Amino acid sequence: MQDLLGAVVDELRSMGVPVSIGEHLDAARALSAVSLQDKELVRATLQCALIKRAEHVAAFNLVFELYTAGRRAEDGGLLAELSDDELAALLRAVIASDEHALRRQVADEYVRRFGGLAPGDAVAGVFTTIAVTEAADLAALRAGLAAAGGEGDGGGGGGGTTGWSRSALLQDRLDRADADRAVDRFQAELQSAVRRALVADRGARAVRATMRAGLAEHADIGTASAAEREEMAAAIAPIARQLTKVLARKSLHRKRRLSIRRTVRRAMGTGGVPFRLVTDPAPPPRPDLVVLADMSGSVATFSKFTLDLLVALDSRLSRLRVFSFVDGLAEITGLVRDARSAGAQLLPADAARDAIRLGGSDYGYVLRDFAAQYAHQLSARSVLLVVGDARTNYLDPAESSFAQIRRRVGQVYWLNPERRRYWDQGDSVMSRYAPYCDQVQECRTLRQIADFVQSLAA
Amino acid sequence: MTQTPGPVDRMLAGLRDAGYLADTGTATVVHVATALDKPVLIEGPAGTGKTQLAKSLAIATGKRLIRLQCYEGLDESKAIYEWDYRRQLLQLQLHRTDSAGNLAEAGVFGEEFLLTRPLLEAIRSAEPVVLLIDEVDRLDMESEALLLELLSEYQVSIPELGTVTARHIPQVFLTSNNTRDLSEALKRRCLYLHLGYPSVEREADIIRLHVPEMNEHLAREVASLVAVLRSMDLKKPPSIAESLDWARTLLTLGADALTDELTQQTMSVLLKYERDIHTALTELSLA
Repeated sequence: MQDLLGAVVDELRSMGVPVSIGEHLDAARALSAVSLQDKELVRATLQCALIKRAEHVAAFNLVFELYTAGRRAEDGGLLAELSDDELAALLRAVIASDEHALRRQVADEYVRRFGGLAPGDAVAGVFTTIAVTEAADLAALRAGLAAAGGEGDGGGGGGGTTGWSRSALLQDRLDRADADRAVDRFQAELQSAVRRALVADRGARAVRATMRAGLAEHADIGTASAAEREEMAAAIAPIARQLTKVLARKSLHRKRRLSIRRTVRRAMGTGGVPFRLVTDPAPPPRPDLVVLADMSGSVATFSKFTLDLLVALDSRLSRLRVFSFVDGLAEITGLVRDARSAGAQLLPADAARDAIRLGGSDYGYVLRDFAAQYAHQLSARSVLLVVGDARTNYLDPAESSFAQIRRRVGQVYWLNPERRRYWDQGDSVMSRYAPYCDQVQECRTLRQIADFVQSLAA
Repeated sequence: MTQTPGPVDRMLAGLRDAGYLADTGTATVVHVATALDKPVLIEGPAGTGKTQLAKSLAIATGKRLIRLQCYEGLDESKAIYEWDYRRQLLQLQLHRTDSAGNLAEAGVFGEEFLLTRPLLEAIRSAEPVVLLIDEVDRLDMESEALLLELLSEYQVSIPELGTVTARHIPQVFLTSNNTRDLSEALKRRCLYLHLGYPSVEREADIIRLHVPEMNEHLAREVASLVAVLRSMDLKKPPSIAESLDWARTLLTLGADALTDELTQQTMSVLLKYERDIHTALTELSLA
């Protein structure tokens, strides 16, 4: 069991899930508290000791499954004797039932028959999954289940429901939801059956290596898959909330509060007479945030993400101003606010509409324009956040304007959605702006953005 | 598989008797935490039974529940202890005549001048307790550090008095709605439990446990519809408590199956935003 634990921890670390030595030890101790016969207990135990973030749970489950996949019967056992039609009939019978074990065997059998896996192939099983899903004809199953659900309910509930008009539409919707759940569950079952087959053939480590299994938080925002983008969208809200909190530091105790405790302590020295009042230190004043967001084609996917984040910021944040730029500059504070109150999305194309003169980014022009028009509105409390790749199309970067802006504001942060190694390659002039920034941050992934917001909070 | 029930099964049964239907994973985590004396950090969306788990465990084990509600600006003097400065001042007044002005002589830093707040109370309690630190994500980053000593050593250091060590190690639960990332230091000290919404089957069971008069078929339909609602893009998806409320409402109205009108009329029990209700009714094609 300790071997399993060691392997799982190694694998998690290689996927980018941090596991400390203390957590490893906790897991080892925790295993002594549960029965090792029950796989689900072992899984829950290891998970609670090793995984400390909801986003890492899926990665853990995958690794655990790979490393605990048992040997399966090579000949397929009893199910092998069924014909394809009989197997399909069996699937229809068990898919919506509580027969977990049987369903699992059916999934294994489908993979064995239709998976077309050749021993030793270094594949991730994507094609196998597609082939098996097709063979099981899940779409037809889904339709069949939804229809059957309706009939079953009509027959079963019909006796006692006199006087209530049964709603066909609502009932349909519920039946469809039930069918969807059953089919999704079986699809997941098929996927793990494929993984079991692969592990039986090549071992867990080799299988994990061929799977493109990473954490969404480490995925490149610019090139993320649809599924990863969905996961990112879900992660935007917490980041936005935290950013709001950092920026909206309530001016609740703007006045310095009397600290009775410290006053009394000091009064001890003078025999209990409070000669001097002691106050708590005043919290720092809350900053105004000014965002300059690059909307040019080179960072298009990323700007979508930036806009989503800005729209998700809380409406409490009144001191937020947003500018979009390509080769012109446009204030979009109003657009962002409208999108927020309408609960809609703001698309880069709309945000960039007034910011394009010819197309193709021109940082120099934008910075000169910004310095001329808005620099006088900035103060030492302003925090300037520039989001862009600093690619100027070989035009004049106008550092002097950036320096001028820098002198007006309290802090400047530059978030660059490009990999650090590409900075200053080609037309990127990141290092010419960098001296004027408090921090230049590579921001390709969710984790990096979350870390950046965290560093603002500290 | 039918040998004597293991510790996890006993935990499940205990929680069930206290009115909490846990799944195996949850019961395992609580059992491991008890066995290892580790705090549990529970995360998940609002209304999935995070706080209730701690309360139910207190009921199941017959321990007292001590609760600390976190909020922004919570500090040591509200969470751990405070010196009763009025009594201290009085005491000093009594000693004024000595004019020595020495703290130790005046004896104002004894235990009798200490006002205990929830955390110290949990540590000093004579009988074992369950300590619930609710919504820990509302604390500022800096105040989080207040908890660290307590969570790893089960002790509290008071500069003037020394270290107070727990007589009985309390069973600690922290809950978080994940409105911000908690510090790694805090997470390292805890076991982690993510509570999501229950499956349709389990939610139907929960409804049947709390609203026993409801027939099985309707309970399942309620759970199924609530699951459909949760899969929509709503501002505030219905919580377990709200689906229980809805079940009770339906029962009061004497329903024995879901109908269009009924669902439409009672949707406001489940959803609390006008926009959400509109979205839901449109999507269910009831509007």
